Amino acid sequence: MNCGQFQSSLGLVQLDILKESERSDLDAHLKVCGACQLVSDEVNSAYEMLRDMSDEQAFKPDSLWAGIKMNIKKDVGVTDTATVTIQPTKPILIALSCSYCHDSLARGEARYCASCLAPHHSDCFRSHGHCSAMGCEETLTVKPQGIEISTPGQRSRTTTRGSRKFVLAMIISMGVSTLGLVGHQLIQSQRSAQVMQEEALLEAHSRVRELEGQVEAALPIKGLSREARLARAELNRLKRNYTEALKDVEVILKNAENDPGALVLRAHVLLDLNHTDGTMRDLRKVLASDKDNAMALGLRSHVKLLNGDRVGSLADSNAAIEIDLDGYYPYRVRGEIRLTAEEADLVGAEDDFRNAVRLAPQISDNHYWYGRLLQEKDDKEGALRAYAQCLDLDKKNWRAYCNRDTIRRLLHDYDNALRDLDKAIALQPKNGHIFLQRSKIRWVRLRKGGIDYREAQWDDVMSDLNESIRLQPYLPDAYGRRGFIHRRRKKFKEALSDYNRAINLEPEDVYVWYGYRGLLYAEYNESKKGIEDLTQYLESAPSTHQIFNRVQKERSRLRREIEKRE
Amino acid sequence: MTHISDSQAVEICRSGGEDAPDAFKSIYDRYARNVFGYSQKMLGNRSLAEDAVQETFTKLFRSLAHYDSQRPLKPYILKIAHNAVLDCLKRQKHLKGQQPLGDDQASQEPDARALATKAETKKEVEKALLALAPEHRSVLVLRHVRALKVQEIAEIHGCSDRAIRNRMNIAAGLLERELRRRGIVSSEGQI
Repeated sequence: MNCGQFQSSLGLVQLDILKESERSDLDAHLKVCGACQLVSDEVNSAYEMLRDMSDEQAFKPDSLWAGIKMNIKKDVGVTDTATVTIQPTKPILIALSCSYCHDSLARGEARYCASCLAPHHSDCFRSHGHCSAMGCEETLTVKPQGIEISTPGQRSRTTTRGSRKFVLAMIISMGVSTLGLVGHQLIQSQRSAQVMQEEALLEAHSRVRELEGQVEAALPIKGLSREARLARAELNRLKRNYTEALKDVEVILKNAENDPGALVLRAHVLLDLNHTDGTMRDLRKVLASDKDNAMALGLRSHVKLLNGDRVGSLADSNAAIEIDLDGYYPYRVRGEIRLTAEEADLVGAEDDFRNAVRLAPQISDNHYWYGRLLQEKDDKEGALRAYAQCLDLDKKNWRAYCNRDTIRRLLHDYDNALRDLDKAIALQPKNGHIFLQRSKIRWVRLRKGGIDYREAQWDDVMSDLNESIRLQPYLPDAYGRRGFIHRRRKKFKEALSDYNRAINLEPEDVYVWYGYRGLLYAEYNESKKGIEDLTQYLESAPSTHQIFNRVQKERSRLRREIEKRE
Repeated sequence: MTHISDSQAVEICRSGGEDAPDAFKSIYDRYARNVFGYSQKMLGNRSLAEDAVQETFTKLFRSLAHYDSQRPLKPYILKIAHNAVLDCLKRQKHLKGQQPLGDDQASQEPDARALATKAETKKEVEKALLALAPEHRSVLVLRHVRALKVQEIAEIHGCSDRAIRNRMNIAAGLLERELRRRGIVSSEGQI
């Protein structure tokens, strides 16, 4: 075989499909041929680069799970979006509370304002002197007769539409009977019956229309207008009832597949669910027909930010703000960009978050981000207030709990910090980071909080660390801390294994775990290995690090021991 | 549900009960990185690779009814991933009118200066891989990167072991030629 033939088999070595005899021939040739050795090194190096898995390690499976889950749920029939099931409806109760005292009101006892039909206790109406409804000063009441109202127990799931018709018929009949009674009372009060009848007729119709709207809103029936569906979907999105929100959106899109409002809303829901591909698909459709859709630009800006395209994200949010000064979303995204930049622009971010809160104070995330900013500015009290507002609006915002916990930890308010993390864990039971964070607080509380320093107390810390590792096995800190507890408990093998894992994951502060592993070796008289690790620590650790002095002393001791032995 | 075995998870998914999504999540957690890694190497584009992951696991869920639970799950999933990747390549070809070659234009002539750093060399190596036909690229990735056995690769490609060995032979030669063309491996004349 010549050099060319040998070189062409170098790749097969990497693929491990070269025959044994050919392999030994090649090895023998490489020992004597420098040129082929050089090519072999280059080929090996190239194949080694192909094996690089940094992209794979950076991949976060959870980011795609929401989309897959949605797809598979469709298949198993518990669909989030496709099946619209009719829920048993809540009974509609009319005139059940007094407009004056707001107490419950038996239907037989109700007296209705002759003008606006607001229900009252007869005593309440008499003591108030006139109708208590805002802007109404009617002094007469009426009592509808001959109307029977269904009780809650009479309603059934299958009679939704029938009930609706019945309620409407009842309301209309109530209005009509009201008119008769109103006329009767009006004659008694010596006012022009004809004029008052006309007025009462108008009022009754207006009230009927209003109640009809309430009925429409209260019953989950088909036939809601597009606007009503969109409004309900947005409300459900804000409440994180994504399934319900998507149901309404899907109904709109079934009728008009390119409805921009519905597409933008679905994009927003998908973004909330971290399904950025789906978000972009919808946004592309919207922006293809309307490139100046400010909300779509704002959402795209957010997706770009999540994908690391900060320049594109900033351009989109600026464009969205220019198009619509009253949209809160692009302000918030721009604030996020400014806050999370390498050199954070805190002033600009504060302006943006303030604008977002001003324009949409009902959106919890605006308060959350304002809290983040204040936290960054070390305004702990302000940040606590902002997080409290955020959680007041949305009790499911686990990030707000986690961040508030961090501030409370800094303020040594460990009990409340733990409570916050308990809530965050209840909302995110599969997030290993939160378990790690809770273990840290329990750890600090054990060491600084005056808690009884018994060994059993470490069990809680240990269980959090175990859970954290089970859920996210790539957290070096969790391994390192567990190693520390094993070391306390004199479990050398377990401690060593955990320190090894922490070091193998190569965190930025890997020197810390070299330091602790070195101390472990020192305790178990593995002097050489101990010195190696401790040296590694001392080369990288800042001299202010908490175990720096101890490591220095320990290394000197180990060296002296070795010298004595020699 | 991370502690349950593949076959148990498959059975729960097949039953279609309330636990099915959680059981499927355990399978997903176990193999998503594998599928992503394979797709990323095959497509050279993170976003497309993520699409392929989604498609793979959605198809997997639908096809679990036909899956023989006595056989290992990993090659079965990679087979679905392979098909998803091929579909994606076809779509890209249709869209662009040419073979997709990753985020950058892999067909560009290599620039000698571009080989200055290791990171740039790595990019060139990846481009060289992307320049191969999908079936050649696939055998290299499955064998070299994912360390699969020849039989497993044959199962994924739906052909015999011998065909896979031949394909690997050809793929290694083509990759070497591409590496030489890009200046990553010294050409014979230079030695």
